[in-house]
Amino acid sequence: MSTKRKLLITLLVIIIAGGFVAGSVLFNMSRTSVSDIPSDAIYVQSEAAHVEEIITKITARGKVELIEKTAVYPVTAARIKALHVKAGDLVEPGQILAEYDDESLKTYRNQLEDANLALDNANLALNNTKLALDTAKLSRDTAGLALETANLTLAAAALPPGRSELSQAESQIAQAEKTIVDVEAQIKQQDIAIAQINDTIASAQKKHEDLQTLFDSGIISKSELDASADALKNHLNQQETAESQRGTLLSALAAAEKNLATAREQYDFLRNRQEEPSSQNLISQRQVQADQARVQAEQAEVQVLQTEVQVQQAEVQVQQAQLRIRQLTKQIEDFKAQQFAEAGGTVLSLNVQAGDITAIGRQIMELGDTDNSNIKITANIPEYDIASVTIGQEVEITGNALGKSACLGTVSKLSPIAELKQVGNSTETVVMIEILPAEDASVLLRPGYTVETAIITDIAPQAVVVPIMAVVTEEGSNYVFVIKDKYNAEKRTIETGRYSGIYVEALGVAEGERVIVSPPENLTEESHVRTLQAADPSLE
Amino acid sequence: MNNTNNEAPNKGMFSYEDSPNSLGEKPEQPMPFFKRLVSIFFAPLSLMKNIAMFPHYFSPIMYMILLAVPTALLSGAYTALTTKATANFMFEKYNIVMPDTAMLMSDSTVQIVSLVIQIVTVPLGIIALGAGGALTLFLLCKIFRGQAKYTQLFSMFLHVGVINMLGTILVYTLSGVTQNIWDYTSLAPLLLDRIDLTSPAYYVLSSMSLFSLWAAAVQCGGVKVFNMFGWVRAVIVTVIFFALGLMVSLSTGLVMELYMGFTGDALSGALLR
Repeated sequence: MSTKRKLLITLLVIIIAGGFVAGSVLFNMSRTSVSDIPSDAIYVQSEAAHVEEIITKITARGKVELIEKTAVYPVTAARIKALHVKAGDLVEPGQILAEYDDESLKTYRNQLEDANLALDNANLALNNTKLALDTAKLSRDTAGLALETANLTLAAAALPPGRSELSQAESQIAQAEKTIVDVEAQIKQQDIAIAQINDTIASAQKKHEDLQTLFDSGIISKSELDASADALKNHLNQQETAESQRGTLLSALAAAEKNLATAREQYDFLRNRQEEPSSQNLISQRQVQADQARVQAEQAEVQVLQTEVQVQQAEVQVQQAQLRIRQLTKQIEDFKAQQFAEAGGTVLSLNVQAGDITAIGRQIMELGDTDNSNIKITANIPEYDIASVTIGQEVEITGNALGKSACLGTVSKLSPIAELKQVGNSTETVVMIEILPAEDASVLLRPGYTVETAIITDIAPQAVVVPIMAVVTEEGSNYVFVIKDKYNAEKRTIETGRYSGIYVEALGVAEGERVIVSPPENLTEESHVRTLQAADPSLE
Repeated sequence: MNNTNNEAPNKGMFSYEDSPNSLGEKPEQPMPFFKRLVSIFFAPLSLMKNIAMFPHYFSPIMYMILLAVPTALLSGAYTALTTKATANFMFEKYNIVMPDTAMLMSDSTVQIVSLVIQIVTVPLGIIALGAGGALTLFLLCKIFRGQAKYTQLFSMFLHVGVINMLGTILVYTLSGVTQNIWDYTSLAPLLLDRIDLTSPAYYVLSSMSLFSLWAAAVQCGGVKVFNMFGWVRAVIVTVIFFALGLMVSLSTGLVMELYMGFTGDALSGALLR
């Protein structure tokens, strides 16, 4: 094939191919309809603002309770022998509720005997303590006397004694001798008291041993054995106190004898001084004696104070014993073998069972009238929601007991105080409210049920709403992008109001206006937008 | 090589004088660089004869690298158009708003990196496709009792790749002018009313372009020369091979349709919810 021919064929091929391409381009361009869609349009999703009724509710979990309930307390503190009711029973006024064991009465009486014995012991201890106080006072007086004598002797050591000093010395001797006689008498009395106590101890020991034998045989109770042991212990304490007091008396006797010797010595000194003047050594001796006497006087004063405290303690124990006796006496007087219902109703809760020991003031059961009109629902509303709740608001009540249907109720009471309560895993400040259910709901509800309540706090019948995802917040203001003239976006500031699911009330948007949902970040008021035709009939 | 003993030609070797399909003078040396390039367009049979004796790879790879530069330079605008067309398609069919990547693509660093990657990957892609195509064609030739070697066929595909690259450059240029991604050298814009990226028909018709037919014609010549076929057999083999390529395009379209049908509905449904 010649070159020229080749060139012609090549040119022809190029022309045909070029014509094909050009024709294809022109054909395609002519077929495509002129579109007014801006080439820089951003694809967006839109939704029309619509009108709907918004009902604002506050939800809370509630519990069904009775409006009026009666708490039943035990009439006596004793062991329950038998319970004649159980939870859920209907009780009539005067119906027997429980029987109490009369073994408790015997126990009280035994306790009363022990209490009387304890009172006797306390009185005896008080008397002994008072006796010890007298002894201590006596010793104090003696010591004071000795101190005076020593001072006088010291003063007299420097002066030749006159007739008065000698008379004084003689009177001191007489007083010291009298003190000795008195103390010896007290010692004798104390010895007699100690002997009595020893006899009492021997009796108590024997009684205790006998009771031990009876207890081992199972004839008596442990409490009786313990009571005798306590009594024996008391007597032993008394013996110890008496021995201690005897010791004090012996110390007082020794002090008195010493005083006597000192007084005699003083007298002899004065007599000798009449004939001979006293030496410096003697004055020093008298000084030392005076100091010693002062110390003894102070010690005696301390002993008196301590004994006064013991007297007070003993008086307290006497009072405690008397109180115990009064309590036991009252329990015995008040003991009732049976407890009757003072009012009728259904047993809502039972806190005891047969065999339990009741205590005065501790509730044993709760009665209530489960009549429909006696039902209420209590719920806790958080503090941030309570401002929207008022008395009289309608409440929707749902729950497993009500099945699929919801019942209505009314807010009847708001608590005046807020409380801190455990809600789930955290604590929250809540205000308790009461809801009265409607009659049809009361029939289905029972005390103890848990229900869900929705308090209707606000109703907006004709609110224009937009999707929440269409609202953009910037610098504290809310706005939406409204589609205008098919492909333009208008940025419009709005006020948001009530929420309803995924929609929010938008003040500033008219019904039917299309807003852009989830507007892209690069969307501005100058942007062109394109929304799906199928979703936006106005674009067709 | 002369076969003066009238023996059957050695397998894979030419018999110019004795074969009923003699093609004239036997080439004595490989074609020069520029003559080879010109021959692709104006003397493909001569080129095939030369490739038959001297399968050559370096020159066509260099041609492709050189052509890859303008291809890469023009691909930016084409890619932007493709992205927009995809976004439009996804929005209209599935109501899915695609993320806006224009800002990312306008970054100069991204553009330079993209350019370099394309200059490297486009020739590599053609080489890889050529290797696979050569293997397929080799098997076809064997079925038809041809004598072609794999090396000959592979070299042929590398040379034919230059034609395809030229077509790509033209498509990118036309897209830039018309601002859409139709392949105006194919039947697609004539037979379809819109670009549907999930339509098998779109992929099949886009595969049947002037340049792909041109490349097929050159391949036919190569099949005839390498296998010593008559034209009829060569055309049959080439048509079968071309049909296999169309089936691959069809499969691509079917897979896209199934995938987007599943994913698009799922995404669309999730968004609507």
